[in-house]
Amino acid sequence: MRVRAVRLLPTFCLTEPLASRTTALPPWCYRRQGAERGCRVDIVVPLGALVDTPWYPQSQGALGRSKAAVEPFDTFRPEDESRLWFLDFHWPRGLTPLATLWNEDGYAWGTQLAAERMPLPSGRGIAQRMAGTHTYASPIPLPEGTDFTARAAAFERSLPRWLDGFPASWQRHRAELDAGWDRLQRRELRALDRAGLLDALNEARAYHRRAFEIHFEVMYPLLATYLGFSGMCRQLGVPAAEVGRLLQGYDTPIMETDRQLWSLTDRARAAGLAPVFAATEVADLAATLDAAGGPATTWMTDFRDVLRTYGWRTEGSADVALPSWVEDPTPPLGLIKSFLAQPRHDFEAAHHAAVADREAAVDSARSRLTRRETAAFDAGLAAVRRANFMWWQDDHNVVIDLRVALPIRWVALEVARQVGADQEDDTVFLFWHELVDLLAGARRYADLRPRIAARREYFDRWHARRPEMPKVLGTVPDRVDDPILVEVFGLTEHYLDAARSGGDPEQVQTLTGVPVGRGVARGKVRVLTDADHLHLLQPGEVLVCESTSPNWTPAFATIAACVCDGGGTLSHAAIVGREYGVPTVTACAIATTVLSDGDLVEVDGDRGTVRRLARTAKAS
Amino acid sequence: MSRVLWLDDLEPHDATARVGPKLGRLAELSAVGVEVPRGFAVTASACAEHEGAAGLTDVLAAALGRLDGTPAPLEVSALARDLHAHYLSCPVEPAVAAEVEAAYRELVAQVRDDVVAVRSSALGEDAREASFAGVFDSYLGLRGATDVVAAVRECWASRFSARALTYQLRRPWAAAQWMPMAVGVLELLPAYSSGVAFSAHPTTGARDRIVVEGTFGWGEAVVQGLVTPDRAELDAQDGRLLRYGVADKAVLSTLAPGGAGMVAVPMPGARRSEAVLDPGTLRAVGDVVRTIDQFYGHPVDVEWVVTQGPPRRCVVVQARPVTISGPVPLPVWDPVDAAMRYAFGATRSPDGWVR
Repeated sequence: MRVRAVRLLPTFCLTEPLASRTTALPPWCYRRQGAERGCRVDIVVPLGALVDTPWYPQSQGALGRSKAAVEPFDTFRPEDESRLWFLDFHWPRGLTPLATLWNEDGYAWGTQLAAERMPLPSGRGIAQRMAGTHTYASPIPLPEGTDFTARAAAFERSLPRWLDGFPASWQRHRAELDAGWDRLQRRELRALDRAGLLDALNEARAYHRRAFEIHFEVMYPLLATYLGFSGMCRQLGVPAAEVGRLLQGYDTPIMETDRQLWSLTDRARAAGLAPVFAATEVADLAATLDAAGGPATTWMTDFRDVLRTYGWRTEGSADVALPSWVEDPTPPLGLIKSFLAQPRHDFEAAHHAAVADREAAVDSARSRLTRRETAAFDAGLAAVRRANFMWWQDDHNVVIDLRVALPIRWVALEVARQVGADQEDDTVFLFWHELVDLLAGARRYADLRPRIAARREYFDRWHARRPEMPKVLGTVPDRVDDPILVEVFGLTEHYLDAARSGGDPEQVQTLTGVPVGRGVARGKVRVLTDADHLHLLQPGEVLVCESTSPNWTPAFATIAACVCDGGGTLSHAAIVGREYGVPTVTACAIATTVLSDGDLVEVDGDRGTVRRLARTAKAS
Repeated sequence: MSRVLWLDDLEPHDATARVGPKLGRLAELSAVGVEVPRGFAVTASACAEHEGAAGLTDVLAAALGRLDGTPAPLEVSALARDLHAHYLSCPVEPAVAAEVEAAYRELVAQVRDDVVAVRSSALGEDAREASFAGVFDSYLGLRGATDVVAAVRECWASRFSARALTYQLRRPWAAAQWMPMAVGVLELLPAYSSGVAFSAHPTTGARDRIVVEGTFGWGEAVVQGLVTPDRAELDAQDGRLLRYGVADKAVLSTLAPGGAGMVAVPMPGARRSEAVLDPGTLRAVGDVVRTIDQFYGHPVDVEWVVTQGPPRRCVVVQARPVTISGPVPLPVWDPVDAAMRYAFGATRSPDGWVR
């Protein structure tokens, strides 16, 4: 029976009273099911008040200014309830008005343009809606009546050519991104007048937009190829959990940054600075070390030198509200402080272990294949190694996600300085068109000041609501077929089930997710809502979070295990967990809700389970 | 017409026509060097001779007349009960019985063991279009001429069980005659281990994989579903072991005391979780399965026995063609094909990719 075809048609639906439900659902959800017996049941998580919730104060006219390839970025509308929306784990802090440039350039332009150009046979990219400051995403289906066969034929023509050209084309893209970065980073903004700043802003925006064109133009075919290989492996009987291991152990610039931080840690210890780090609050470290003189000053010079190469990264993906390490060195100093408190992470050993584990996984897979199967497996493996999604996932973050928003941020901050703003980041609470108007002289800062204050308040209010934001909204099927949603966002059946039913900390003892980093470990839970608190992590703790992004990587050198609400086998936590040999389970959906700081858990990265052994006294 | 035909004397080209495919294939395989049990066939004409002499021919013809059209299941089972009972009430025609007894004694003298297997081999059985696997009776572990003759009659009579009747009526030519049947009397090999092997993967149909299943002793407990066998997968090209699953083999089939067939007894503790398919066994079974597959040019399943040694010998007691639905594509890496199938859930149709 082809359930798929009827699943989303509203005409066949009936709503069932909650009393007849078979499994626990939170009271705000209801079931919708096919008239035919045995039809799949969708759960509807109503959008409810989110449809009418006012967006940022005085945001009228902020939407619909930017070109979208298929479907523009928006807030929730009543008809959105018929689609599946999932809370995007990339921005756990929420987005300020100017940071929604990501939604416009990344999702509404980058993903949609790439999906249409390639074309992606399965859909048209990603649509998103804002609930307050939080982003929900949804795949854009092909419109009714699309000639799938023709779209697939076009994909069939484009993919082999693209794969052949991949290593060279990525080098070209990287060179283009580096050239753009160098130009923007060198620009002396202080010397510019408003007109000059407006030019710089537009140039930074063009760079931002172009970076996301490249991002998704590369990501989709890499992902399709990986998923194809992974599917073939499954067909050949190679366990799904082993496929990621076949591609691990290739160095990336992110890991190089981690090595530099450990090298700085060694130098701090050698210079006798460990006691200073131990005795100083993270936020005061820079000032204390600068003022200490002697070896501390020398060390800070070294530190800043390293940051000049490796510090152009933010504590989150593509967000103009976030400073780079160069602007605010608190995060790397905090990491070094925590590194000083524990034995040295042996990068070479971890790297060799990852490589040895990769080769063992390859041998193990080959030993179970016939000669003919081995030939197909080897050809596929060679292809996905040449166009290695796992490696690219880390590599592109350095040149795109972690620094792409910085040039826009710098112009915005310079504008704030020049207009004498109350706070240096006031301008990230303006929408793009307001910032442009300010520079063009069409608006005055004084007139914008009240809305900036109101929006700060709005942002903070929604930031506090993040933990209670539903993980999924709208019409949630019991199974998602789109492998991108499954492998990247981790929308497995377990995830959907747990996300729909919510989590009662009293009831849930075991969480099930996707096993992505091997091994079993026990430790005390540390729930982190965003990277700002990364330095709170104690060595040997179990990191529990919505998801990790590249700036979280150094933490993997200290933690016992990692548990994420979101993310599949291709997510950042999965990739880093494998590289660092840290037991990691993703897509648990409700880990941050159910677990509390101090809980003792056992994380089984082979089976994909997280078991609570003891609850912290505080919570019980 | 001969009442008894020795497998050694059969010519491969007409063996199946003369003694049915089950015994005929053993003669064919013997001719290409595959080791098979020694023994003889009690021919279909011996069966016909017995039925004529016992007055069964007319009874059976009349019964066939009553089954014209599409009889109700209850009618079939009532008739089967009557026919079967009547068949077994008729003593075996003495001339036939004497010749079977004499041949049995000769077989016993040859193999220096008096335990045999008596197997039905219906003519037309196992034909590609109508598989009769397991419909007709077989008896393992019989001892003594009297029991052997009785078992031959049981095999003949097994054509008139309700199940066999139903199967026979499905065949387009059923209306004309009852299925003729030969019966094999074969040495029962002293089994160290036994099992089945498939020259193509039984579930995926992949032609480059051989699957071998086996247990200690005789295979009866596996056939009856009393025990799960160990399972190995081999590369059909080079015989390399790809997978091995050790099963908990709780039950062992062994000869009943006094030669009254097979019984299931608890497996001795140490053997339950011991791997039964050692490298030598897998090599021998893998080779023999490949030989048979190549000989028939078609995937086969094979029942094999490895004898207690020394030396251990790998003997094939049965081989059957396996029905595989449609050709199985060889695994080939094609990035478009893989992405379309596994990333986008599409399938290839004559008009292109569809979902």
